[in-house]
Amino acid sequence: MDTPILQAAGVHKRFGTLEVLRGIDLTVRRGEVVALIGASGSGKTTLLRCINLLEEYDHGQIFVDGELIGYREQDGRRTLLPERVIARQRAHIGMVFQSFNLFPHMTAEGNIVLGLMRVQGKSRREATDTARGWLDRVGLLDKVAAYPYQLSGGQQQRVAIARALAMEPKLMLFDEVTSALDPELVGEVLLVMQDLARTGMTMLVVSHEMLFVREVAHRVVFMDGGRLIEEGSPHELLMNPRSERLKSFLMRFQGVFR
Amino acid sequence: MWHELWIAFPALLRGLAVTLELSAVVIVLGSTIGYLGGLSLEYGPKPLWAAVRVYVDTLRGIPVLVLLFAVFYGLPIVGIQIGAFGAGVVALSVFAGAHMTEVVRGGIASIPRTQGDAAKAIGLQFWERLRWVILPQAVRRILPPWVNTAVELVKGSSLVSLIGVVELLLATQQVVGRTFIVIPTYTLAGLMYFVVNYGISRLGALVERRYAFLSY
Amino acid sequence: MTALQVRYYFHWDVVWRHIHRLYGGLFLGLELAVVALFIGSLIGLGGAFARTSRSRVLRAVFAAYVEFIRNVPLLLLIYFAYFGLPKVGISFLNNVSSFVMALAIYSGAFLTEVFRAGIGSIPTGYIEAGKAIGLTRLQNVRHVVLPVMFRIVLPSLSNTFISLFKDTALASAIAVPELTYGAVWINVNTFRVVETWTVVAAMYLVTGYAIALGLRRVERRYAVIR
Repeated sequence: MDTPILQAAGVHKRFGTLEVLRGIDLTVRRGEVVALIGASGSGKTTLLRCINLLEEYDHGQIFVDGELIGYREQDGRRTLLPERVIARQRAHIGMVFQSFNLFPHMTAEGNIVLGLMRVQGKSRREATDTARGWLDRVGLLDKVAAYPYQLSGGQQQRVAIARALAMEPKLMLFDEVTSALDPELVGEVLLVMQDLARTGMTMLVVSHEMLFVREVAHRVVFMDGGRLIEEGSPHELLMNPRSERLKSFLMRFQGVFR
Repeated sequence: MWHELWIAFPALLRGLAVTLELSAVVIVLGSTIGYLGGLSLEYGPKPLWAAVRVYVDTLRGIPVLVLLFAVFYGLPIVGIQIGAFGAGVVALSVFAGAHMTEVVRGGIASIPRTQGDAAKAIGLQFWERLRWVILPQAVRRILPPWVNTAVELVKGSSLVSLIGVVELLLATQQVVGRTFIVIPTYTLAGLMYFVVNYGISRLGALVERRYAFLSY
Repeated sequence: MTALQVRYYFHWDVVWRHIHRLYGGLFLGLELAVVALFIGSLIGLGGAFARTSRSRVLRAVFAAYVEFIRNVPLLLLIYFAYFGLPKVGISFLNNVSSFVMALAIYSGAFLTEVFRAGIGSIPTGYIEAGKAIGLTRLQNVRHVVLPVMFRIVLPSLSNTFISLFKDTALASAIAVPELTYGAVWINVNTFRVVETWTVVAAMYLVTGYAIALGLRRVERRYAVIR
């Protein structure tokens, strides 16, 4: 029996008076690559941040590999789990951010070693070996001792991906990871993500890179105004959009699809 | 005249030693209070935050001399006899703590929230995030104002001369009283303060430069 | 626990009886701060222009002045002015004037840097516009640089003034009857420690807060033009 890696049911989230997520139901199966597209403000990033509880959510449930994230439900009342437990849950979910967020006071290797030593409890020797393996995997073994300020945006993002992968997560979340990159650096990051997808990692990707979405995603989900509007294969959604909102959203990508 | 000054020089040096001793103790205590206070302001529960806020705003609004006299005359009333040097340590440390709290708070607050997010995302807990990600970066921001505070504290140590502690300034006055050599003696004392404080500033600048790459 | 038994009854009226020393002292302190700020600003302005001038000598002299004064205690400067200056013939200064001189010289060093930063952050566009319409250097300074600079440095000046007001407490060391001097007198002569210092601390706090509020309103009226 294969539990879906991610199962979100009826997720609601509001910031003050603004309702950002209005009942999201989403399932991601093991090994699937799901792309989340939509305009800014549609709630895509918020949804991602709720999955690893960087944001608390108000209603609904999010399960990662069958485990309820962030809360404990007892007799119909939900309570926030202790920080210790949440931290452990987060360790099984990898996240890559738009602004890389590498730790500037550590080298590329150091960024990866931190999680391996402090969260997984590896020794320094083991952690260093593992970290180098992951840096090699993203093509940056020669940058082991480089500090983030010495790396290009694309290189920093690849280190960030390695940092997330090193924790051996069940699910990888990508939040517009190429949006802050100069165009010529986007390719190297997408290549790493494509490679990752091929190895069977379960990925939930928020992106504007429509070509990447079409080529790599198994399924595409379109969000608007905090709701899930359309869902389907890349071909279905991108070539034959049904809803008006999706059609007008895709207008701005004219010329991307030949 | 220069001969008399030369003979009096050791007295000034002894005063300087007291100044340095007092300053060092106050800097350490003040910094400790500062870190506790700064963390409380950034991460503490509402009541703690309020208490620290009141502490900081009150102490920064009164002259340090008033605090010194209040402690010096006040502690014996509640039965605590710690003498003038002790009163100086208590008053100056409490004062330094208020300044340092603001400095630490500012340093921590200047670390982008995204750093905390990234640390959370790899599964680090609160104290781990603080220890490995937030504080190492904050310390580098805290350094310049911290150095300024240290210099202000060395200057502030001169106030304990008014409650009878023989640090550099009182030692200078004693020499002046003995020898009647006024301007050269005060100038010499001024130079000694200058050397100490300028030295602290330069040391700070050196350390800052090593970690300059961490400015955003 | 018996070691820390405190027998203390509050006698606020005792302090009240001598309140004139405190009020008088408070106002004297404010006056001292205002005068010192004024003179210090003149020094600071001169210093700022000196440090940005083309004369290497001027730049060096004022750089040394700033570096030296900022690193020595105010109390030392006060003693230097009060005990030292008479030795070189400047004997017309009483304790109040000596204090104001010392505080002015002290604040002048800090204000030099404040004004220097202020001048430096004036958008060059303004200065060039002044030149373009034919103003001489002096006119440019008078009509463009100074007004703009004052608006930019207003917040720093406010903070400096509040600091100076707190620094006036040191005047008590040479028997100037400002607020802290009054407090020590009351403390020593009535032994009402807690009441005295609570009242005095409150007076400093309230005055400082009132000044800050007032200056913030002034700041808002003359907001920085960017």
